[in-house]
Amino acid sequence: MNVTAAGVAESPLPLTVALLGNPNTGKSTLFSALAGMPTRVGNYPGVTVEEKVGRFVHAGRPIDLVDLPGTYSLAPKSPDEKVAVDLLRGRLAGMPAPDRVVIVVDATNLERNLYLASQVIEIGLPTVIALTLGDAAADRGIEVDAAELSRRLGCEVVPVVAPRRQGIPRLADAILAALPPRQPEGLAAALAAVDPAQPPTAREAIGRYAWIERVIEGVVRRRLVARTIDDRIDAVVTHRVWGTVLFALTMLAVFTSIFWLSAPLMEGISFGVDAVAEVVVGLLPEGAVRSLIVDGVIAGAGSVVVFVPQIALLFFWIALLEGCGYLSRAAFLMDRLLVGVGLSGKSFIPLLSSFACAIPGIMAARTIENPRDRLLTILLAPLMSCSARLPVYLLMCSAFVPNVPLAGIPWLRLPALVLASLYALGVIVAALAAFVLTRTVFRGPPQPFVMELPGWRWPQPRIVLERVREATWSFLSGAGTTILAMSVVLWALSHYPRDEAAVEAEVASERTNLRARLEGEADEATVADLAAALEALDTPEGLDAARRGAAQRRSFLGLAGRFIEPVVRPLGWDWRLGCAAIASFPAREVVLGTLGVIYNLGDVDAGSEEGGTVLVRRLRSATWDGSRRKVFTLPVALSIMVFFALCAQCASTLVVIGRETGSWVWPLASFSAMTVLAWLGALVTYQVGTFLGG
Amino acid sequence: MTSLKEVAIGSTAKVELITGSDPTSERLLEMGITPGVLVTVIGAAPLGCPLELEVRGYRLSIRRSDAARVAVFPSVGQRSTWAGATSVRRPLPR
Ligand SMILES: Nc1nc2c(ncn2[C@@H]2O[C@H](COP(=O)(O)OP(=O)(O)O)[C@@H](O)[C@H]2O)c(=O)[nH]1
Ligand SMILES: [Mg+2]
Repeated sequence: MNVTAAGVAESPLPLTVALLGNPNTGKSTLFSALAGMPTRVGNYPGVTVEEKVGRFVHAGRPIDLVDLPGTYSLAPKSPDEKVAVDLLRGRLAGMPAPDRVVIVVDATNLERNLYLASQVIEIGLPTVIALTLGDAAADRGIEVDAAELSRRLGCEVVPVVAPRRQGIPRLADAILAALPPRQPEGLAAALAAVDPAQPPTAREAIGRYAWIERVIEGVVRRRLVARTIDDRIDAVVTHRVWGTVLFALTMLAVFTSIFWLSAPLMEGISFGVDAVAEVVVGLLPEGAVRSLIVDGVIAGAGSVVVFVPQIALLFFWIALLEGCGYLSRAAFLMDRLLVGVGLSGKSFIPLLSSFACAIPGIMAARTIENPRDRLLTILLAPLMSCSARLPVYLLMCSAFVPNVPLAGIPWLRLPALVLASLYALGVIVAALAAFVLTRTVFRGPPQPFVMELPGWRWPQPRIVLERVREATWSFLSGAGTTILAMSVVLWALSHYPRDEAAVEAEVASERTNLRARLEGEADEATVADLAAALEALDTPEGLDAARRGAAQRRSFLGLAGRFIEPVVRPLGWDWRLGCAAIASFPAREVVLGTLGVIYNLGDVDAGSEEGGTVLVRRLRSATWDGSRRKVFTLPVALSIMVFFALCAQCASTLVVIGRETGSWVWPLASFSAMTVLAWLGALVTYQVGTFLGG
Repeated sequence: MTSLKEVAIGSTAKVELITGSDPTSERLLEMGITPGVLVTVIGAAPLGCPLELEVRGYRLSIRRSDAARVAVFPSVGQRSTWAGATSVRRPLPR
C-alpha cells in the first residue's frame, strides 16, 4: 500500500465521493470514465430513485463514486432532486454525507450551471469542479478560463472530456487532494445586496445570478458565431412541418422496433424455453414435480425473460434519444397533446411504447421526473392496447365479426373498424381516467414544466449500453423474481386440487354429450364440427387435451371461474369464458392458449393459421351447458374484446407497477379499477349489442 | 404590462419580474429567468405551445400559461446574432 496525497496509509477506508450536477452535463459519462461499471445498483430507501455506486482505486485509495440524479438547485422539486440534495446534506437514512463532492459543470452553459455549483460550494464539503463538454463549447465558440474560474470560486476546477478520457487522472488527483472550499468571494455580499422589495423566493436567484454574471465576466469568452450548430439543428427539428415529419419517423422507428423487431427475439426465447422444458420432460417421470418444474418454474422464467427484448430495445432508443438531446425535444413537440388530460409531453414515449407492451412503457416512465405525472402515466399505460391483446382481437374479429364492407367502400370492412375502435377505446378511456384522476386523487398545485432543451450531442455507445443493461437488470432482478414466484403460485392454483376420477368422469360425460348433440343436430357445419370434436376424443392427443381441459376446469382457477359465473353472465359469457378470463391472469398473451385448453384443444398455437382455424371452429360450436344455444354470438365476441381491451388481466404488468411505484397499493388499485371498467364496458357492449341485434 | 407570452417569435425582451411564489415561479428563477435578463423567444411547438426560449445562452421550454407569469419590458428587438449575448450585465453595488 502506498501513501496517498492526503497522507493516509495502509488499506484505508474508502472515500465516498458524490457526483452532482445539472441534468445532462455528462455525470454518467464521467462516472464510467472514472469508475467503469457500477459495482452496486440499487434503490434509495423508500423511493424509486436508482442508486448507482462504483468503486475504483486511485493512488492506493479506494473511492466509492456515487452518481446522483441531476438537479438544478438545492431546493428540490422532484423526488430525484430530493435524493441528490438529501444525500449531499447527509440527511438520507443510513447514509453519511459524502467525503468529497464533484460538481459536474457544463462548459457550454456555465452561467446556469454555476447556480447549483455556488449552492453546493456554500455547504463547505471538500469540493472539486469537473468542467465537462469543453469540446462542445469550443465548437460553439465558447472558451472557459478554468484557472481563473477556480480562483474566483475558491475550489479546484478540472476540465475533462470524459468520452475521450481527457483530464480524468487529474480529476482523480484533485478529488483526493480536495479541501473544503473557501467561501466564494462576493457571494454573500451579492445575496445581501438584493433589493428587499423583491419577493423572498426571488431574492436568492437574483442575488446568485448577479454574482454569477460577475464571476463569468472575463472567464467565459465567446467568439462571434453567426449561427451555432444547435440553432441549425433546432431550426429543423422544432420546425412546424419538418419537425413533425422527423418526429413521426422517429416514433415509427421506436415503435416498430419494439413491436416487430422484438418478435423474432421473443420467439427465440420461447423456443429456448420450450427446448429446456423438453429436456426436463425427458429427464423426470410424469407427475406433479415435473409439472411444477415445467409448467410452473420454466414457463414462469420464460414469461419473465420474454419481456427482455422489448425492454432492451426501448431503453436503447431512450438512451440514444436522451444522449443526443432529442428526448426533451420530443416532449416539447407532444406537450400540447397531453396537457389537456393533465400530463406533459414526457408521457408520450412511455404511453406510445405501451401499445407494444405496458411493461417497457411503465419502465420508460422513469424518464418523467415529476412524480405525479410519472404515477399517472404508469397507471394509464395498461389501458393502451398492447400486442398481447391483438391475437384476441384478431381471432374474435375473424371468427365472429361479419366481414362486410362499410358504407359501400370495398376496402373498409367491419372487422377493421372494430379493431380500430378497440384501440381508440383504450385511448379514450385513458384520457377520461386522466381527466377524472387529475381532478380527484391527483389534485394539487400545477407542477412546474420548465424543461431544458439541451445542446445537440453525439450519444456515447457506452452510456447507451449501460442504460440498456441497467433497465434489463433492474427488471430481471426486481420484477422478474416476483413474476416467477407468482407464476409458480398460479401454476398451483391451476393444477390443484387434482381428482383423476372426476376428470375421467367429466371426459366420459363430454363424450356422451357430444354424441347426444350430434344425433339431434341438423345444421351441416355444426354436425361436422361436433363429429370432429368427437373423433378427436379418440386420438391420444385429443384425449390428453380433454383431460387437461377437465383438470383445469376443476382446479382452483376453474372453480373460481364457475364461482364468478353470475358475475359474467350479464356479459353474455358462460362459465368457461369466466375461467378463461381468470386463467389468463398469469400472462395475457396466453389467453388464446387458455381458451384452447379450456375448450379441450390442448396447446393450440392460435397464432398459426391451422391452430387458429381449429380454435375458431371449436369456439363456434360451443354451446351453453345443457342446451343448444351457441355461446359465441357477435355481441358476446364484442363484449369479450371490450373486456380484454380494458382489463388488467396481466400479472406481470401489475408486478412492474408495484415495483416502479414502490408500493402494492397502486397495482391493487389499478387492477380493481380496470376490472370494474372492463366489466362495465363489456356489460354495456353485450346488452346494447343484444338489444340492437334483436 | 406585457408578459413573455405576448412576445413575438424571434424577438427578445427584458424580464421585469416573475409573479407568484409557487414551485413553478421558483424554478423559472432558478433556471435564470431573473429580473433584468434578456430572453429570446426562439419558437413554439407545432401546436402552439410550449415555447422555446433562449436565456443565458441556453435553450429552455416553458408553457404559455407559465410564460404569462414572466412580466417583461416592451420588446428590445430582434435576437442578437451573437450567440450568448443575451444577458444584461448590471454593475453590482459593492
Ligand atoms: N462532446 C461531449 N459530449 C459529452 C461529454 N460528456 C458527456 N457528453 C455527452 O452528453 C450527453 C449526456 O451525458 P450523460 O453522462 O448521460 O449526462 P448526465 O445526464 O449528466 O448523466 C451524452 O450524450 C454524452 O455522450 C463531453 O465531455 N463532451
Ligand atoms: Mg445520468
